[in-house]
Formats: sequence, structure tokens, C-alpha cells
Amino acid sequence: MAPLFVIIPLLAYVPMFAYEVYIAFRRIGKPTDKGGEYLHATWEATHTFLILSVNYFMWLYSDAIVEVGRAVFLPLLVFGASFVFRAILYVYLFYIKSSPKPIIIVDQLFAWTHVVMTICLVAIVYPTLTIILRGNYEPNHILLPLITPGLFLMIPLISVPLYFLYRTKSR
Amino acid sequence: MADSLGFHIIFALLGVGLPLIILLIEHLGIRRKDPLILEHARRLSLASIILVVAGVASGTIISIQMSLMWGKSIKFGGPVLGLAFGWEGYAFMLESVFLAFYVTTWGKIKGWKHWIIGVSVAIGALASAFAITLGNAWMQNPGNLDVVNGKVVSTNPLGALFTPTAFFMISHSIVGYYLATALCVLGVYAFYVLRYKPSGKEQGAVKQIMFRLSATAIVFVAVTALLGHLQTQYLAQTEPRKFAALEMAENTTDHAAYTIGGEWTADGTVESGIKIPDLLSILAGNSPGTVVKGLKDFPMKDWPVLIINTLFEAKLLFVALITAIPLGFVMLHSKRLKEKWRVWRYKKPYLLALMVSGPLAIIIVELGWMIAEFGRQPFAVNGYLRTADAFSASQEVTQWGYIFPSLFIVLFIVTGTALWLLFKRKGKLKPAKDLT
Repeated sequence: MAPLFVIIPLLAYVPMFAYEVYIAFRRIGKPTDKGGEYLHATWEATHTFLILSVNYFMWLYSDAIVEVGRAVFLPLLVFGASFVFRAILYVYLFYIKSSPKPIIIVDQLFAWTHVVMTICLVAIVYPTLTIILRGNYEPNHILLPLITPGLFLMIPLISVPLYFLYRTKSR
Repeated sequence: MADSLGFHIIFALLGVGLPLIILLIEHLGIRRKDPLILEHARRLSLASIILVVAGVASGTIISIQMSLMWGKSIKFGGPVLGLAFGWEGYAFMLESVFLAFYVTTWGKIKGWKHWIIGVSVAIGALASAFAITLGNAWMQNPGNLDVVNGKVVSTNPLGALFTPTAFFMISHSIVGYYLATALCVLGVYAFYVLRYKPSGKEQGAVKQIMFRLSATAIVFVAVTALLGHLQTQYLAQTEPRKFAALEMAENTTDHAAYTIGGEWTADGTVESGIKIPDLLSILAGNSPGTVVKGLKDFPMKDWPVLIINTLFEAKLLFVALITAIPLGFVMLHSKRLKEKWRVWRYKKPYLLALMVSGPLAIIIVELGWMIAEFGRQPFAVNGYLRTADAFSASQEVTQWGYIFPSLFIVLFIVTGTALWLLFKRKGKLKPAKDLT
């Protein structure tokens, strides 16, 4: 059961992330949409699924963390750097840049950080799942009964606002 | 990693405190049906989105750094710490999803219904800080552990986490975050008054918000001070090593003196400073007869970083300042005072002092965090796992480690600029017709 805690939030994250990548490319060269789709901050909301998955992995498979850390060092580093870089560009594009006139190079950089992150994620997830599924590491089973109820509480609780956010974003 | 945490704490504390402050302002706006006050709440909620963007990025980096550098620590405490961090994942999810929802629904969902969405954000932020501090409290004072093959064996993670140390650390930290945020927002309004000189209805709205914020800050100062004192007393009983380093207790004794402005030497001797007889014993146990354990009772290899005393004294000094500034502001509202004194509260020197109090409160939170972490040294998990043994980074990680602090500096500057522009560029606030 423990691997499901890592895999399910990750699977939920994939389509949402794919949509973010799509709109990041779609907005290249278009005037900055001050009140529009990006200010709905769905990225920050949907990104919590990735955080949840990473969190579950780190703590359910705490024995494996040193091995995984060494195996995915480089993609993890690039992912982290791209992630911060994306946040910097996001704040610049939507909260600092005053002119609605697009700056193509910044738009391109912003969109491509998503692609770099996607590549890194694949390079992180594949070896990590291999290590987990190989079954050499015993998960911390004791945590499962204490964190499972939270998942059942959270899914219905956040699904309504998430649905609303994506529905209004696509308009 | 310490530099990353240093940056993250700023985003995190504002992320925890801002939802509550926004709720207070929105509550005022709804109750008085004042669209101008509601517009203030809306603009602050935009600021919290910027902070979440920065906070999510810095928080993710900290997770990455923890995995790469402190894997042995995670492995050691996984069966207990995992519970706190697992809950934090849920709390953060609640906070960020509802924050996006809250910001998006301004003008679409109105009145108390919108306010209740904000309550979910505040609960998520509070729960997030609760869970993280719960994990940190366990590392500060883990109690009795069974360690098998370099890993904690726990049959009761709940019992291991929920300790008096956790209570004191969580309550003291969270109220401290609220206090720092209240003072930061108060500083923003002081700037707003200086720059835009609001008049008429807007002046009334701004003054109400500023009064409410300063009164809230005073309540938080009183609660944090009381909790801080109780926490330090508990520290004297449960972590005497840290207490001795913090309070300059050189030798074990009753009638221990409290030293102000002293300095530790490398061999654990207190030099210079003003000594107040009996005060340390009274502070530690409410009686001059209380025995305070001295640092020299502990082997030198187990001593914490001794600079914590200097940090603690600096913290107390800043606490005195941030107490006096909002207290003075509220007192200057008293109708018993003559008008020539009352007008001082909106004069430039006082507004500048209010602007400074926010950053000072952030420095206090940073100092508090440094004291807790330096005081725990040389252990990662107090008494069980030494920091040197918990470090698992390869040479490559250490070589590339500078990337994140460099990016954080840029992120910090960009975030600060965006927050500044949010209030500067949008100019004077106008009543929002869509909010009532």
C-alpha cells in the first residue's frame, strides 16, 4: 500500500502540470494578462500534489533516501534550480513588469523552465520508483494508519476549489 | 542549507501570519460594510499570493536539500518525524488551494461566505506551521528513544511527538509569526500614510486598520513573552545544557546570578557583563534557591554554539523595541492625552518607527530560530544523533550547494520588489464596488 501514497499524488499532478506547460507556451508573445489565468495561481495549488508525493516518499521510505539522493543528485539539482528560476520569472512577469507589451525572450525562458522541469522529473521519478519497487527497503508502515485518514479528508475538501480554479482559468 | 532556511523562514512566517491579518481586516470591512477596507484586504491577499510563489519555491528547495544533505537524519527519525511532515503536506495543500480560491473569488463570492474561505487558508497555514514545529520540537528534545541499527524504533509516534517541548515551541513560534506579520503590515500602512496622506473616508479606514493591527500586536507580544518565559523555564529542566549556554550559567549553583552583556570564552568562562544576584535562579524556578546547572557540568564536546547567548540578548533588546512601538501607538490614541501629544502618532518619526518594527520582528524570529538550532548543536537529534553523523552529502553536493543561496538572493530581491510595487504602483486605494 505504501507505494500508492507516492504514486497517486504524482499521477494526479501529471495532467495538471501538463496543462500548466501548455498555457505557459500558449502565452508566449501575448500581452501580459494582468487579471487573467496566471493570477489564479493554479500552479501553486496543483504543485502541492508533487510536494505531497515527495513528502510521502521521503518519510515512508526514509531508509532509501540516502541511496535515492545519490542516484538522482543531478536532475534534482537542476529541477530545484529551474523551479526557483521559474518563480523568479513568474514574479517578474506578473507582478513587476509594468508594460503589457510582451518580452519574447522572458516568455520563452518562462515556458522552457517547465520543459526542463519535466525532463528532470522523469529523470528523478524513474530511478526513485525503481528503487522503491525493487522492494529492498521496508517502508515505515507505522505511519500509514496515521496519515491515511488525512488523505481521505483532503481529497473531497480541495477538489471543489480546484475544480473552480481550473474551470475559471480556462475561460 | 542554513541560508536557504533563513530565507524560507521569512516567506513562511508571513505566509502563516498574513491570512490571519487579512481575515481581521476583511472582518472589519464586512462588519462596517466598508468597500475601502475590503479593498485593503484584497490587496493584501495579492501580496500573500506573491509570498506563496516564493515560499513554495524555497520550501521545495529545502526538501531537496534535506534529501541530498541530511538523508541520514531522515533515515534516523523517519518513523516519528514522518508523521509531522506527512501532516504538513496536507496542511500546505489546504492552505495553498484555498488561498488561490480565496484570491480568485474576491467579488464573485461576497461577505461572510468569502470570509469563511479565508478561514480555511488561515487554518491551513496554522496547521502547516504546527506540523513543521512539531517535527523540530522532537529534534530539540526527543525524550527516551529506542534506537536499533541507527534508526528510531517507535510504536507510538503520536506520543513521541506530542510533548511539553512541542507545546511550548509551537505556541511560542506561531504567536511570534502572527506578531511579526501584524507589525510588517502595520509598517506597510505607516508607509502608505507617509506616502499617500489619505484623507476623508480613506483616512478613517486606514486609521481603524492601523489601530486594530497595533492592538493585536500588543496582545501577541504579551502572549509570546509569557510563553517564551515558560518555555525557558521548561528548558532549564529538560535541556539544561542549552539553558546554561543561553543564560551564561558557568557553574552549577543555587542563587545563580543573571549576566547581562557578558561573553563566553572558549573554555566556558563568563567574562565581563553585569551580574544581577539570584535573578537566574528566580527566572529558572521562581525561587532564589533553584539550582541552575552550569555549562562546565557537561563535556566540552557536547557544548552548544556559545554565540547563542549574544543572539538571545540581541533578541531581548529587539523585543523591548517592538513592544514599545505599537504600545506607544495605541497609548497615543487615549482621549485622556492632550491633543498636542495625540497628534504624534501620525507624525513622520512615529510612522518611521512603525515601519522599522516589522523588519525588527522578522529579525527576532530569525534570531529565535538560530538560538534553537545553534543551541541543539552538536546534535541533529538532541542527545542521539550528532550533526556530523547526520550529514550525508557527497562532495558534488557540497560543491554545487552555492547555486541555491545565489538563486534565493535573486528570488528575495524580486519578491521584495513585487511587494513594494504592489503598494506603490497601484497607488491610492479606491473603494471596490464589487466587494459589497
